Amino acid sequence: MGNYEEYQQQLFAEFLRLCDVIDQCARILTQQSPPPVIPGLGGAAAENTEEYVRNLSIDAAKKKDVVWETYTLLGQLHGYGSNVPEAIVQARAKLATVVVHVDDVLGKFDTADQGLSDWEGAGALGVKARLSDLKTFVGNQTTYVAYLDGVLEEYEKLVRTGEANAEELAKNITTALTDAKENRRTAKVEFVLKMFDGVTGTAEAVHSKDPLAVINGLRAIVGAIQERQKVMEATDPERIMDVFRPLVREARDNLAAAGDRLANHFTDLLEDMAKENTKAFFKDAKLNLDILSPGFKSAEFRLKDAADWDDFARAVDKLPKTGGPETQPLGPIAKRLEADRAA
Amino acid sequence: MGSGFTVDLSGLAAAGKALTEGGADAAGNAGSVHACRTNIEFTDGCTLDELLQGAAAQLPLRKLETTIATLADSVERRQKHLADELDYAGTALLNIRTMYARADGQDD
Repeated sequence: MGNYEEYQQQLFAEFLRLCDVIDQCARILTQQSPPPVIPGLGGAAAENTEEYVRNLSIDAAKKKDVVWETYTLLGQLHGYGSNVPEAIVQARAKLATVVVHVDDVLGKFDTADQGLSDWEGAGALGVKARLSDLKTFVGNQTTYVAYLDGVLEEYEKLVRTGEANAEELAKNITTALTDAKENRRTAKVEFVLKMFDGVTGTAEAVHSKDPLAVINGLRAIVGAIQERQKVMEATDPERIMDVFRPLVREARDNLAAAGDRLANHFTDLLEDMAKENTKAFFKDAKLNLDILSPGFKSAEFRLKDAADWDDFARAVDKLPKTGGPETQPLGPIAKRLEADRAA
Repeated sequence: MGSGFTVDLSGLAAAGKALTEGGADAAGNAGSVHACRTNIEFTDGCTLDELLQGAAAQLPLRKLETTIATLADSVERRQKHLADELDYAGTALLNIRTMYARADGQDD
């Protein structure tokens, strides 16, 4: 638990204390309790007059509202209670292993292309075209993995900055309110808030295939962190809140704007990813096709005159996935070819 | 029908084997993407799956978090699809090779 949570607890404790003061004043004024001995005040009996108690209650009520507003405003800044930065580091480490191994997959494509290089005919062209589509799919997937890694990196940066701002605001508002209350003097605090100043992304940047351009593009969209000096100076807690409220809004809105810029950048890309994913590479292999049917081009059953790829794709599922032809009796095609050979 | 009938099917066999191995590599990558996805946590302790099911909260970074959840989910689905397709392609080519071999009267 960081300092932010401690400041929030401090504010909440002060809120409860002020509620208690108001409650005690109310009991005194309605004569529900013995003559007043209010903790922290003590002193002469003249101070414990009805007028004094009433003013004390009104003062406590105003401060209570200020403290409660401060407490809830800080809660709007950011969600806490999880280990987001550490979790993102772990997630990116897992993703890094994908980047390392993608070349293994592409290498297998190269081996397959070499193996199929002598294969000619309509079927061969169909197969090679489909493999080319799948290779493009792998390339796009590599880009999408780079995007995921890049956006996780930016997200971690946004969360850390948001948390830093929240802590800075929490520290300084509690200091200012404490000074105004206890020392009854003008409270002045100076601190720094971190803001992002990025630009809205373009469609071209989204579809870049260069991983470095991808990452640089995301950083530009979020923007560099600018440090802005802030000052809160006032005696009255309500005046302090008049300065504090817009600061909280500014920090929250800036963080939300940076996050939304990054999110909007991906709208088209997410759609592209889903559409390519539904593009069928092989059709349904459960379709039945009688390999012995008259339409099957058995006479031209050679590498150079392969039948249509879809017919092959259907036909292959009729074959066992293990076991060689030597365990099977000769089929009609082979038998016919045997007869031709003998002729 | 005369000479030149026996054709060299070793290229088809090599291609089929390579694609099947590529499928295994892609499946390994899919496991890594899944591990990445399960590690991702969001600012209010929400998990990725909870966000995809529509967890609502008025946090500054919620829109970006929803995008991240969708992006990670899509990357994982695509990776699994790739592994499945490569595995099927490899098996299909090996079976085609077998089919050619039978038709060609080859014993191997």
